[in-house]
Amino acid sequence: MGLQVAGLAVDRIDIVDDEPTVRLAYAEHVRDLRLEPVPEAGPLASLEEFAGEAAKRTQGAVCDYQLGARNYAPFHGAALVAAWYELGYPALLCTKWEQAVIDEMRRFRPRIPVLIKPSELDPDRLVAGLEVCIRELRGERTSSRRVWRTLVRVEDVSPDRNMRAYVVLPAWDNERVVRIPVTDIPEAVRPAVKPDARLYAWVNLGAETNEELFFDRWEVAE
Amino acid sequence: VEEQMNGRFRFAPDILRRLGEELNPSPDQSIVELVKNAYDADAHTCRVELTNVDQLSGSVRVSDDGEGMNADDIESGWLVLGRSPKTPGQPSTRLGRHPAGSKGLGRLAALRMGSRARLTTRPRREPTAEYVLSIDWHEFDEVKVVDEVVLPIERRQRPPSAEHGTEILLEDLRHPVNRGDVRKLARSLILLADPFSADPSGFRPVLAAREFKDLERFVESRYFADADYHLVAKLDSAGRASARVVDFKGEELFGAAHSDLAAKRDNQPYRCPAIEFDLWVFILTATAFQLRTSTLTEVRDWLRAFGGVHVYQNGIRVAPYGNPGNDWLDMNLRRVRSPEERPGTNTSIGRVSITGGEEELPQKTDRSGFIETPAFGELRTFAQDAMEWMARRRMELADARRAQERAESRQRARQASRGIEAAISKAPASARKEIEQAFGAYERSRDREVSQLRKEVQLYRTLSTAGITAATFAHESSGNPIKVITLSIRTIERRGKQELGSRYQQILEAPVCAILHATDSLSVLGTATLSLIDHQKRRLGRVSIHDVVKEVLKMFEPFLAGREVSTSTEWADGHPYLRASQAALESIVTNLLNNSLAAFERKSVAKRAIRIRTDLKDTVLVLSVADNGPGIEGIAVADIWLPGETTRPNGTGLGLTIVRDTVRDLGGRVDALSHSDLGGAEILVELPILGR
Repeated sequence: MGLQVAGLAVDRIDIVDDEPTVRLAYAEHVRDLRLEPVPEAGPLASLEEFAGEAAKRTQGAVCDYQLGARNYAPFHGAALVAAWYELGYPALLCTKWEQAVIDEMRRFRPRIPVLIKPSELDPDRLVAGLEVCIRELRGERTSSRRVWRTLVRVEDVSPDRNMRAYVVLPAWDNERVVRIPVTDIPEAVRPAVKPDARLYAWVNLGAETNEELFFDRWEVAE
Repeated sequence: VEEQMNGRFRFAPDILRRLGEELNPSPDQSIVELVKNAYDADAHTCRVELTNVDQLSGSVRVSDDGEGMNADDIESGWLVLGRSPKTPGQPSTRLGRHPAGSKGLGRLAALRMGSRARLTTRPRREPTAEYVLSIDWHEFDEVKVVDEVVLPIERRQRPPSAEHGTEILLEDLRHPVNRGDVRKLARSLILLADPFSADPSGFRPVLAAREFKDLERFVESRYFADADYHLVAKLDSAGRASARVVDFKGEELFGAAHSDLAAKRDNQPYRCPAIEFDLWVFILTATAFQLRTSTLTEVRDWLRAFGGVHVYQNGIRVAPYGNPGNDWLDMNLRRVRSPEERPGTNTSIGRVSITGGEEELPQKTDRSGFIETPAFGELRTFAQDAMEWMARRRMELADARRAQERAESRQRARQASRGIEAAISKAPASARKEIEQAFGAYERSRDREVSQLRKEVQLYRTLSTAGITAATFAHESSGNPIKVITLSIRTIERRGKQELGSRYQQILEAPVCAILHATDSLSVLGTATLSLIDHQKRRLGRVSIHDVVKEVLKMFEPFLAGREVSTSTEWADGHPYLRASQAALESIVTNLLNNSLAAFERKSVAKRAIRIRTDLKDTVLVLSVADNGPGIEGIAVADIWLPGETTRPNGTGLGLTIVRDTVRDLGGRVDALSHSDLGGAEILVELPILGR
């Protein structure tokens, strides 16, 4: 048993999903790679505690986004994959996503190298995904995840409780409006987030789709 | 060491210009800095006089009745730049004031406003002395470093009538001060020492100008008692919040503990110094002012002059919070959502008072507010949470009021009915019967209408509940089971191919493909439900009609394929758009597609087809949705729009009503053909567009 993925010996894969039957289904994919699946039955401990423990007993993970429907974990999968990233541990976030989920996930995206839909996951893609994660953790980012400092133009800000900014990145696509929660922007920059404002941020301009985009290191354009 | 020489930093005169001119952005702010020096000197009054300031030769005089200074104070205090006189948290003046000036940098900016500055000061401790210092800035142009210019401090005999205090005269202004600056200065001076407080600090700056007198009268008017709601929110030194809202009679309407205000942040304390936040909110309508002593115009003008939420640290205002155009709490942005329950900067006035906190809340060197430290972020969050809480409580109140109005309207209808019956009884006997019959008929038809409306409301509520339930369980009902099926069937497919080799195609391929296809269709259900209720789609904005139609078609793709319906589209040129919510347009297109799909159930058609077409006629876009179903039959074309009218046993009869109402709301109109060139019904929606 065991595989070499980008030079890393992998023999056990952690499986995090709040639905037991889904965990079993993922386990079959892992078994077909002749690796040992480690389905997490839950309830999971705190984010830091669980991330640290899992990273010790396995070499990679497949993780769902929604973990809260069954009192399975007090955090969601994006936060977990991002915490693992900090630990240098490769993990795939495997979920279907709607716009609301994209919004919630965006701030974690700098630390989520691979986002994949369950219907697209098979053993080959699992290995390919882990390889992308491992390479990124070593500093080798794919072109769609390389960040550049770029101008961000605020088109509009929705005034409701979950404030969202609607921004355009002329260097990415001058026609498309990207929605981001205002809370993703650091507090120091937030007062400047008003219609027609110009800001700078580091963004992965090679991203092909809206859900791949992420933002970092915001500044107000003088 | 053979020899030791001493070096020291020295500064070119240009640094004075840069420090002075770049650190204070406007003349009014510069003068306010001198006034803050008067406050720090324990003055009770400080008078600012402007002479010919609209010209280059103008002068500014700032005089106070404070402690005054002797030669030593001037040399080691007033002339030293960059040293803070403050001890954080400790009042340090004789009257117990916290010094408000900023390390002499603001003073430098003010002194540089003129070509010459003259300081005359009479210390309280030396009753017969007067000290004079003159600065001619031209002298600094002639030297290489600042300390080459010597500034003599003259000690003189104080004129017998002169009291202690300090006077600064700025002459030959470098830039004229315009009327707008004077107005801003007047406002800044009035607001400087918290004029709203019942316990003012005893410091009253005065500007000798007409603009000031007008404003001063204004501020003294104090319309606080006319506020409909007064929010009093407090944060103690442990970061625990509390709040209450009182009405104009001073009676408490709502109260909140920390857990009510900080629920969103899991009751975490706010990490910033102790704060008191007052917000007076006005409902600026003629009705609300009917029984008040003040007029709507007075209060509106007063709010225009002083509205906004001002910030005071140790009793002295921190600009620019609450200045015109400074909406640091995003009040106006939040007000857009529900104007009735939320204050804006033009309908409210407020004050955030901070005691101490100089370390956690340091001010920027250029006096443009606080440095955006985490503590400042927390301060802002606290104020916003308090306002949010008040908005929710007011919303509750409004809901209760509406419920009461509904109950009262029924009672009023009954009373009116009895009134008419009484009136009829007084009519001549010959006409009475006829009137009674007519009124009876009217009442019956009105009752029918009311009953119909109630049913309609109930139907909307039922459908909403169905939608809410579908959305709540979208994840469980379609997400997880579909995930299991998809993942498992992929495993079966993979292992089947591996184990069975060429026999896989014969034995398993067809059923595996069928399951994969079916799960595709199923998964759309959850996605579609969640996509339709995305609350951001209800936001008004520029919406591209073609984009919305394409998006809905994409969402419907598996449903349409499952029902063997092919679609064709014909688009008008360009990208026509209008101002609407995406949800509104989606509900039009979705209901029209649903309508066509339902029609196919009534008739067997060889090749089911839906055609969507857009045409532009000047500024109107015509959206046509036609199908080759049975057309409109068994119901008059005009009646298809009526609520509850349906030819399907399980139909709600609301789809086309929603289309009609939504189109009307967007300023458009609807029409229908019972049989189009495709054979089935064609619905035509005309929408006025903004551009293409």
